[in-house]
Amino acid sequence: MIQFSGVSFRYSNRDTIINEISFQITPGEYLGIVGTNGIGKSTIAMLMNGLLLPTEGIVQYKDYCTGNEHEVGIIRKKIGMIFQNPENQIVASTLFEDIAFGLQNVCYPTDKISDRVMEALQHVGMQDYRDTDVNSLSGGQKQRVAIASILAMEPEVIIFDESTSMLDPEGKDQILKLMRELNQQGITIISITHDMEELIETSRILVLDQGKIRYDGTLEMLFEDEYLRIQGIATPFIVEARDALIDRRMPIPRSIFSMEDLVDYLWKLP
Amino acid sequence: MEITLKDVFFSYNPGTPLQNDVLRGITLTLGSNKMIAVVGRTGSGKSTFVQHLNGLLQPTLGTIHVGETRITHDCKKTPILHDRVGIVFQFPEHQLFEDTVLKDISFGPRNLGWSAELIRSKSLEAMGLVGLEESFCDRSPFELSGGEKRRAAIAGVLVMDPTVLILDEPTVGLDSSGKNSMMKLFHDWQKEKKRTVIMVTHDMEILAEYAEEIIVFEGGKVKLVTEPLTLFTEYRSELNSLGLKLPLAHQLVEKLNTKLSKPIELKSVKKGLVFQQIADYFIRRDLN
Repeated sequence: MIQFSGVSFRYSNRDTIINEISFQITPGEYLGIVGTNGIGKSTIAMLMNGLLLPTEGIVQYKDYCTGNEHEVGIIRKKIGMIFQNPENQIVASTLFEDIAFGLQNVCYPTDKISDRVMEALQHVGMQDYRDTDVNSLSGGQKQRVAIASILAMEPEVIIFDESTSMLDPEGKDQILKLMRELNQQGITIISITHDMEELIETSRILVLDQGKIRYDGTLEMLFEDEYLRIQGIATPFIVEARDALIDRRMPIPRSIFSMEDLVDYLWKLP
Repeated sequence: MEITLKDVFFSYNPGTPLQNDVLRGITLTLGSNKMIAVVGRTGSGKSTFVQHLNGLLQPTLGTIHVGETRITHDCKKTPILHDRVGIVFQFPEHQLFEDTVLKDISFGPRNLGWSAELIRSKSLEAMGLVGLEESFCDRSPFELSGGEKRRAAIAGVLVMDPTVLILDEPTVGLDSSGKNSMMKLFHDWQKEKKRTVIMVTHDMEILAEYAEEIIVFEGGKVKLVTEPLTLFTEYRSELNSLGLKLPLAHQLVEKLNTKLSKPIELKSVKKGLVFQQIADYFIRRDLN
């Protein structure tokens, strides 16, 4: 559905950030993109919806190409983005106005805007806050509003770029739960994060390193084999716990990849 | 240096229809020579609280003592505290502004009128603390990587050699190695110089590894002052309602305990020690 073919990118006068990469994303995936700071994760996200254009190569969404100025508008409607700071994504003073803003911009029929906004608010569980002042919301609630604004546009893909890193534990859980639900409803989710715990449920992760894709596969496999590990990529807690116990001479199989399985294994030890 | 707050209230826009009461009566004495964590939900008053500690905000009511300095609402001029209480805001790299790293770091000392020689030696020392080599001196801060920028910005605070260092969400946005090295930097600095570090954080893993004292905020009040092990064991049932969470290693032990006939009683919140206790439990059981 999203296809990168031989894509390179550099900001003017700077070193190449993305170096001839090719991959595709199929509908309904829950994809994680990881890599150290400054490695180009956000650049890839912005290339996907045409906020940036590749220096070389082609980025496509279905049959549309981000390089084509007539098609990039369609792509942006279908691929929404949620950023890190909830404060920076809200444009109006009430929730209703904020979500209606995007619809007004794409000339959505005025008489249908209200229904569509309410639908979107309901989707993120914020229907009771329709006329609330956005400034009175918590960080997690603001991110949900930002997600509702995107849902109003009926996206097929939503990219979350470090969208939970500024939230408190409660807000973080709300957003992660919503991401899972949206994925189950068929929306392709792309999650860019440093927090490996958030990626436990992904179906696939891409690890970026020095402009290339260093790893493309499941998170579980990446950590099953010690030699696959990549510098700068955090170890998920479960792997850390498993390996710490192995180091302390406990016979834990390296295939264990969830807290439940580890607990199960431990208490059944003879 | 001791910091005490007595009946401190703070409102944004007091006396107007937009009045927003953020701190609602805080009486507190902060220990020194410690890593203190300030936690609580978004909007519970944490950031407003820490901005009172270096005089950036003055209380609407009540008194704050920072060492000898007294801060109340009627202070004509904010007492000069900036050389004793340093504050690193969220995303400090957004505050870089000079054309070289050295100039940026030495901005504070220059304003205090230190001698050129002292400014240079102190700036280089601060760069050493954050792990920036001397070759960075003449580079533009805007050409650095995200992690390097943050280090440069922090050096600009450490160069003042503050007695109290305040960190507002110090690791947000950093990758795991950046996060660990940043926390290690603050930890080592605090231990070596015997200073006080006060950090606002949402990260329960950081809390468990580094905090020695925890101040829990709720609705503009101090709900609790405690230490990490007590918070995660004795106040276990209240964690969720305070917007906090059990660190992952504790979650593992909690799940395990539901199945074990004799539960594991945690003696530490630090991950390594929790793993050790789990291993000991099962190995000892084998021996018996």
